[in-house]
Amino acid sequence: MKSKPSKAQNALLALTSTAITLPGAQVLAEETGKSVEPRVIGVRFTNYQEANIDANKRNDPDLAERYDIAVTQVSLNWPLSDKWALNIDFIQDVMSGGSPWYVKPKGQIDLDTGEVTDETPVQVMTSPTLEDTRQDFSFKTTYFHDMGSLGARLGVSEEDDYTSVYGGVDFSFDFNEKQTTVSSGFSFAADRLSPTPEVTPSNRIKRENKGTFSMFAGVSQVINRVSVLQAAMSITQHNGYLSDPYKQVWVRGIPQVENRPTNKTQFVITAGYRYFFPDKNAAIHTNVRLYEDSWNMKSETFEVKWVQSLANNWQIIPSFRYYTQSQADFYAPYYLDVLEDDQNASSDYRLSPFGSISVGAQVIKKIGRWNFTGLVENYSSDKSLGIGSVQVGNPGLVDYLRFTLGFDIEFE
Amino acid sequence: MNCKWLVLPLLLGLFAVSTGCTQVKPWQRGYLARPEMKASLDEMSDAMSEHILFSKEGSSGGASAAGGGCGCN
Repeated sequence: MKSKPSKAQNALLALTSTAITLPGAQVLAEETGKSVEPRVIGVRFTNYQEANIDANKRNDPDLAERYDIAVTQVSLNWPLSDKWALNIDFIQDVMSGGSPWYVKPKGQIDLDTGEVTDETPVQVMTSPTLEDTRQDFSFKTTYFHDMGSLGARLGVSEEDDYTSVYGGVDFSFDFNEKQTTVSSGFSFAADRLSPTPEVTPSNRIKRENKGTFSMFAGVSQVINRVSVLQAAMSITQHNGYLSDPYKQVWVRGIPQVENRPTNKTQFVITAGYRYFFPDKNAAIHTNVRLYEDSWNMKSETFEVKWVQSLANNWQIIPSFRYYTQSQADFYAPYYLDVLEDDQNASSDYRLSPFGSISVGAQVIKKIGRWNFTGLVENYSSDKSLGIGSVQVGNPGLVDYLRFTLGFDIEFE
Repeated sequence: MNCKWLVLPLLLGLFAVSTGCTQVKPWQRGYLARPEMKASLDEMSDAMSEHILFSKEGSSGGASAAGGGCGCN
């Protein structure tokens, strides 16, 4: 029981991340006449447990449990020659638990006057017995030439109620004696939703489609011997069934299926700066991101990481991330007035105004050809963390604690 | 869309100009090639971070690492 992000956008992100690389590192690799990346197999195990909703924010005292999610990732990065590389990724998510269903006022409604005795919003949860498994398989091939690279990715994500086929193409071009790298690309996704009957209301959809198309462009610039600046922008267009078939809205005492617009355009600008401190064997990474979409949602993100190398091939990476978003223009925690025909309405906490803070730390240890890593991250969200005043927070906002363990092995 | 979308590129341009963008020859890029300066030190874990946030927040996209997928609720 899920609402689905766009696979195309995820593919776009993956493409972008590889396209906007560090010019200096690429130059050094090319000058040695070897492939840009070593042959590596990586494995990661991630588990995160969403915190139960507070007793004063939920409708049923016995329904508080949220999702427990275990993710396995396997990645194969295999250069085929000095010019060609193949990357294969496999991801499996196993989810179990309960999910926010709809939000209602705590008090009773007087249908004659439309007034409620207590307007405090409380979350109605589904049964905590939901289970689902998703498997995602993708491959990417990259051609490296003297002036940059050209890559193409294709993937498929499959689960009981959702199938996505996605792909994309990206390129990068180095110039200015390889101090500047320009990259661009596009990605797409074709998704099919077929909601599970057991957990949906009688008026649910049976089958719907949606499509996504994204384009991005970015530049990475060597500033001096110790710093690099990069910036990128992207535009994404979604069309089709963009509602969550499992979410409902409470309308004047009656829960009904939510209804979102059938198209959305997203704009994103990001900027990143990395600076190396030679005397400390450390680097600082900072990133800023601005987002706006045609649902009138805006968000700002600030991230900072400190990458500290220590003796005996240890690295420790503390990180901090702050995020704030405004609400989608049709969002409300619940609706006291009857909706007009085709009126857009959603009470999804992800469309509500809030802010979040995540604090994490990662440790990496290299032993010969092996890299071992462990990561812990705490994420908390609340209306009080958002920029601007939020009068009514959504009770479904999530907190979670995440753990990741994994290893990489490099081959000759 | 409003003027703030122009602010960031302008600031970046001013920053690049103010810091000089000096010519850095390939043999002077040893620090830049250090592992600490990679855009992502652990692409798989970074992809998972994006993957998780994708399902918790209302906005997504941008130039950072991510994998495909959901993991939603």
